[in-house]
Amino acid sequence: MKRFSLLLQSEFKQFLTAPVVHLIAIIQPTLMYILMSVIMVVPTFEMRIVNPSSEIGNDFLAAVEEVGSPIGPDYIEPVLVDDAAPGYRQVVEILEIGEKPTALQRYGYIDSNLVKNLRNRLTASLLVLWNIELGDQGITIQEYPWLPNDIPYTVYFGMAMIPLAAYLAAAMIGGYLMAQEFESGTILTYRLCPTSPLLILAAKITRLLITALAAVVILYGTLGLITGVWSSSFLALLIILTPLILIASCIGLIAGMVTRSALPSFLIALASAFAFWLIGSGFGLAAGFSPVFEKISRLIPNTPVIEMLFPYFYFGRQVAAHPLGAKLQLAGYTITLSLVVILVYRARVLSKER
Amino acid sequence: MAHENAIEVRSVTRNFGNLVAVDNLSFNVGRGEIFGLLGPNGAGKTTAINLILGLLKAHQGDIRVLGFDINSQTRQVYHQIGYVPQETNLYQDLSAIDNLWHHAALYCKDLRVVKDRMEELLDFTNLWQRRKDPVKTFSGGMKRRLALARALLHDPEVIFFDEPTLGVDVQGRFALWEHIQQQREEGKTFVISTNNMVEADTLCDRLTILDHGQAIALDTPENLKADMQYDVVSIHTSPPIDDPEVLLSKYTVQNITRPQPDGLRFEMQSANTNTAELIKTISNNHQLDSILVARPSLDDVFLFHTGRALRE
Repeated sequence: MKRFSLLLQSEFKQFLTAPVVHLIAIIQPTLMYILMSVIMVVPTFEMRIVNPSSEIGNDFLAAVEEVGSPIGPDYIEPVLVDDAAPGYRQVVEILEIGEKPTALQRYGYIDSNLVKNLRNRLTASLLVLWNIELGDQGITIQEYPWLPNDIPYTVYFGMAMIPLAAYLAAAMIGGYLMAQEFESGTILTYRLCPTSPLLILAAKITRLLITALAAVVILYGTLGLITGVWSSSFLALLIILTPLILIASCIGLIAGMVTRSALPSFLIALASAFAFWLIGSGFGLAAGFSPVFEKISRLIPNTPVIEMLFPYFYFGRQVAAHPLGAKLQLAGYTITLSLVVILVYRARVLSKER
Repeated sequence: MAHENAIEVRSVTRNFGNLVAVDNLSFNVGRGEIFGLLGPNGAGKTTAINLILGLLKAHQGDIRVLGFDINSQTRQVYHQIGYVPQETNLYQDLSAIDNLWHHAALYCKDLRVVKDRMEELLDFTNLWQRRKDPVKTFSGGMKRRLALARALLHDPEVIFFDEPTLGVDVQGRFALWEHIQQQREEGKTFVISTNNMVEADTLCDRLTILDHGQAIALDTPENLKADMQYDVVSIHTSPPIDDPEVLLSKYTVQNITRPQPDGLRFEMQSANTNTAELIKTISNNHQLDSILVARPSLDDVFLFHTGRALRE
């Protein structure tokens, strides 16, 4: 135990050999999350409305302000303008066409997703304004909420980024430091030592596990502070992430041992982390995409992890198609890669040159 | 019972493709001995060390270290050997003491005594005051001393030291030699690989000269020098001797060189007994300003065995 503890301490001191890589690996997902969820996601839309001069126009303005938001901020921020001159990316004008009150929405040069958002907001406002008047032809919405409370998308986005943070920290630091041992010649110390390779690898992986969990804690804290949503069990979250971190550690160490070069190892870790994030339910549950994509996504370890994390953020709702299957899949990956990393260590570090 | 020889190398051959890097190499290293591997670049010194360390597999022959077969009893061997490679492979960003702790975790059997041993070795290598400084701030000599301290940390029986003082200044060189000799007095066995003949002459109890993977000489430095049949003669005359081959034709001389315009250097058989006659021969037509007759150095032995051709 004393030897393991010394090896572990020594592994942590390796931070000094690559502080920048550590900072990138640990902090990058959190910075990305802050950037994408706070700066780039704007829940309140500015809608330009021609200053109303009629009663129906004023009613429309009131209806716009009445449209609420499930996530807090105002859904629409009306910006009054004098006329509907070209140049605005969007402007609404309330007119009477053929004696019928009409909302005319004009668009400038904007992307289709923005058009969709602005159109949805106009529809919501008009429903507030005219739904009662439409009588039997009115649109009735019956809600059967899946969750007791609405949860903003930024929670899913952050939750799906937690596996990215865990994976990136473990794979990038593991691969880079392992390759650095070859580049600096310190690997010779391992080649000639009488200590069991299992103990050495256990210390390396434990250090990566702790480091990756630290990266998770930072992102999790940021997610909670930004959205106000916290996991119902932090311990469960750490337990669920542990197999993914072990998988990432093994992939990183294998990359380091196979390439024996720090830069390729760094890039392999980075590329695999982002590929796993994008394909592995990073922006929405795999089941919400095409069947082919879902099948591919389910091969990525991030997908079962996100499905297992989901209930802890979403009031216990299960989304995994096969909860036991997800666990078995992760266990299988972890065991297989643990065996592979031992074999690669024997082949690339310990074996005699023939 | 302790094995008599620390290292036994028996008819070892190792090829790299068509190149025979080590060719039927055999030697023993006794316990408590400082044994040198000498040879020009590419002679097979590092390959020989890598074979003994078990980093390379021999294609023929047997190697035993402290009685253990290096291929089948690797772990027993690794507990008892230390290695300082040519490229000092320390963690440059870590402190000296952190480097030693890392090594201790990998190599030391009894971790309870490591702290005392570390202090002792840092003191012994004059690095105690700098123990908390990053290794990257150390001079070349300090790094070599730290590498030696690290190799000694787990109290090994045999230490392999590849080019101990390569790139080290004069003071650092003497300090390292002193450390190695002190450790030998405590019973450690050293195998050093070097190109530095002064180092080999100063340190080694016995040495082997390798060339093209073969051991072409093996003995103590004194015996190797004594086996040379020539003495080295250096003379200065005025005017300079224009045609030394003719002037010295009645003596058995070789390798005549002109290190200065008025100086000659040559190897001469039985120069000591012929000195008076040689002086007379030269003085007939020249003024002899100085003459020095010396026994051959290890450099001369080395050149005698390996030739003067440049090696790549």
